[in-house]
Amino acid sequence: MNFNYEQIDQYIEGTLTGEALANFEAKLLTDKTLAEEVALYKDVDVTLASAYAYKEEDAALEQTFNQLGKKYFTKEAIIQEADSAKIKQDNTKVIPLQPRAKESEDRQPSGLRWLRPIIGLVAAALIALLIFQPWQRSLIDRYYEPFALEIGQRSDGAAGLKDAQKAYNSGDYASALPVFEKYTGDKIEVQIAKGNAEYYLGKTDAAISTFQKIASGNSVYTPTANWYLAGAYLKQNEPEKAKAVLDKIPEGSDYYDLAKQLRPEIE
Amino acid sequence: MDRTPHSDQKYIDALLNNDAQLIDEIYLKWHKDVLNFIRKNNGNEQDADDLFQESLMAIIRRVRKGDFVLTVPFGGYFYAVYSTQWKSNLRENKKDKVIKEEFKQYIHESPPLALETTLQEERYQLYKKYFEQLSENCRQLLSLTFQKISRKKIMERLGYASENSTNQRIHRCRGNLQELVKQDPAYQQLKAAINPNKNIKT
Repeated sequence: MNFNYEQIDQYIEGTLTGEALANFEAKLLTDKTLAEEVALYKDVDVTLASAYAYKEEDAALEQTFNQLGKKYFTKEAIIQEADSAKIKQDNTKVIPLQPRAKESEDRQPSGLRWLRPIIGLVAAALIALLIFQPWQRSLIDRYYEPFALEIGQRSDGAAGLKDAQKAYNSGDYASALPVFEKYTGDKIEVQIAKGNAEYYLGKTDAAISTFQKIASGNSVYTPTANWYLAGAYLKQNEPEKAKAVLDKIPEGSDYYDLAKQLRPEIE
Repeated sequence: MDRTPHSDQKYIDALLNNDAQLIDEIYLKWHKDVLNFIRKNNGNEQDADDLFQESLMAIIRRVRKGDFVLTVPFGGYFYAVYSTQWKSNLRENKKDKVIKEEFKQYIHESPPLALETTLQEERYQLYKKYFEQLSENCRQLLSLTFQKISRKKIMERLGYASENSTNQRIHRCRGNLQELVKQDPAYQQLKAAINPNKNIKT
């Protein structure tokens, strides 16, 4: 339905007067579609006007949020926090080691004292196990290491590639990814790094697409792409697809042994 | 109804003033809750970061609209907003099937202020989406009207022949925007929140 937006605008702005205003208001009482149109017009005005009025404040707030997001939500920050919490928890356990050691020393035959260093080593190993809890890490976390990007000194393709490489290798995937996306050069390793960045930023669908393109080719990086593709499939809980691409990694490839170890664990 | 501000109103003020120290406190206090919630509902760290940020922006947009007093603890209000917001995101991504039963029930019982905040945010996103689809000329014209620039100044700035022709162009662009918004299925769901009786002068 076509509405008279000039009249709606005048009504909302308060410039509609006299008989025209009376007629419009009378129509509003009986015409539900007109009433809805006016309500929408006013709501769009209020909502978008507010967004424009605070454009600069919003940009500043987003900057604050982005910084704090990096502080609290990156994979590295979360792992670090979990580890600190675990260590703190372990430290709060009060274990009266000294008196018991004395007590046992008194009772122990002197011939067993040689066992003490071994017991110490076993205890240290157990503490390390408790801290890192490797059995609690997911299968994918245990195997999946980010691809290290080394494109050498010569810079080609997208501007800022060297900086992006540095950011990527230090785990700042959000800064690196936009540069990788613009990269038009022929270095396949940049594409592998792009897939890794997407993976770590939670863009698993995009990572799969990136790795699939490389895996479907016949370059020296095809096994590498299949390896990371398997990781992305596992993240998406698609074990059969992961197994299928692991099976494509040929003997002699850097990833062959890892694939061989990982595959039975997927079961 | 008691409208005495809760002591957590300080977090609302911090968002209004971009107080980085207190906003850091918001992240410190609630980032684990958001992370746990997201993990239980099919999301990852990046989703948690996005949801945290989107929900704070939704709150600040609601606060700026006026008539807002935080009478409850911020944590409860924030939880209600981000859980409702996540439901909305999933609906947009057509991933409704992954929503847990407990979650569905929660949405049904969302406190009014949180629900209102999220519905307003959905409307904002809907209007913004179609505003961005308008021609460059229309976007320029309408952005000036949203900034309450007078029609005369718009006419001068954009070099139109008269105020009348400026108005005609504005009304045509507004009409296009209204039509685009109305054809989106989400509008039918959100329409009830734009209460005509509340918005129309009587």
